[in-house]
Formats: sequence, structure tokens, C-alpha cells
Amino acid sequence: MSTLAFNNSLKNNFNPDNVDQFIILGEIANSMLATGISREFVASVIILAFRYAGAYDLMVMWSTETESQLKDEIIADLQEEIDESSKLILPKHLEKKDYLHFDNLDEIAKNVMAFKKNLKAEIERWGGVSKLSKETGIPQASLSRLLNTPSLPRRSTLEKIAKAMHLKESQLLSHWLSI
Amino acid sequence: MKWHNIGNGKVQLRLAVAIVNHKIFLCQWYVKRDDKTDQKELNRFKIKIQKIIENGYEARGIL
Repeated sequence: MSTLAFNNSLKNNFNPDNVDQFIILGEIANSMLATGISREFVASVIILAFRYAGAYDLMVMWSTETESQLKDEIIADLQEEIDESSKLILPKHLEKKDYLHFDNLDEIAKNVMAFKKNLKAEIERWGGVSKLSKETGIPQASLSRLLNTPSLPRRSTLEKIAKAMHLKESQLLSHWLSI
Repeated sequence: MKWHNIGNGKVQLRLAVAIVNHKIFLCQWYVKRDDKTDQKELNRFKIKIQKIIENGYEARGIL
């Protein structure tokens, strides 16, 4: 994307002094609720949009998009951003995590997919993704992405799933810890 | 950053790199599909830039 296009995109940033943007946010939130997205998610994404201009822009993009697959992707992206921003206190210093070596990525991806295949089967036995979405408040698009891609699942997400399915956390987290 | 025709699928890889306070951050990657994907990823990139400025990020390594 050219520099000009990027600079133009910044003009859509959420401005807390702009009353119209508050109204737009409310309208988009209502649209989301009308499609069956959980109130918990909508509340979280509104808070995110107040804080991050990019989140506001994603909500606007969702509201104007007509292609359902892209709409679902945006919802899943917003859920990821909510999960990443769920820490109440931001680290004051650079926080370093374990380095994942490039040579290990294929093996990790295989392990993750094997774990998710088992989890998917467990979810189907329990009642399905749609039911899980209602119980956890996690949008169905986000759960589909979780179950069908080799992305590392977040502990907080697995905890929500374990709680909804009345599983002991150790039943899910033991797989997670072995990855 | 743009990498063209790489990998078995000859995809176009996009790497979102931010320069903040004289430091360079590799924030995200995606496969180029269309302008809408670019716009979506740009919006996510904006969130990451804001978090870097707020010092709210985790480092996975140094290139």
C-alpha cells in the first residue's frame, strides 16, 4: 500500500471528541448483535475500539463489507485482538517470551493440529461449535479459526472452552503443555 | 515489506514492519490476496503500532 493510501487511512481513526463516531460505533454494535454475535464480544470490541484506532477501523470495515467470509475473518481478528489486549496491566519493560526456532515450526504446527483435531472431536461429541460459541461468548468465526488453523491456542481461550464444556482445565491444558 | 513469488505456492508474502523510536519491529505477516485483505491487515497493524508506542507488547526474538 502506498504511503499516501496509508496516510489517508489514518483519517478514519476514532476521535473521542467526534460525536458521530460514537453513534457509528453504537450502530455497528447493534448490527453485530442482530447477527447473533454475543453481547460479551460486542462489549469487548467497543472497549477495544475506544482504545485502538485500528480496532475502530476494523469495526467500520465489518459493517460495510458484504462478503461473508471476510466479515467472519474480521470478527476472528477482533477476537484475537481482544484476547491479546485482555491483560489489565501492560508490561513496563520489554517482556521476552521463549524463542520459537524456525526449524521447529513444522513439528510444532503438526502437534498443534493433532491437539486441535482431538479438541474438535471432543467439541462435536459435547454439542458442536455453534453451542460452544453461545456458551463461551466467543464468536463462531473465531472458534472455527482456532480449530482449523495451526495457530497456538491461548490459555485463556482454552480455559473458557473447558469451563463451558465442564471439563477439568487439566484435560485441555495437559495437551497444551505438551506442545 | 513485500516478497513476491516465494514458496511452493509462489505466494506474495507481506511483512508488516514498524519503526518506532529508532527500533524496528516485525509485527505480522500475511499472504497477499486482495486490497481488502491489505486494508484489514493494515488496521491490525495500526493496533500493534499503538501497542508498541505504549510498550504493551511481547518480544519473541531478535532478527
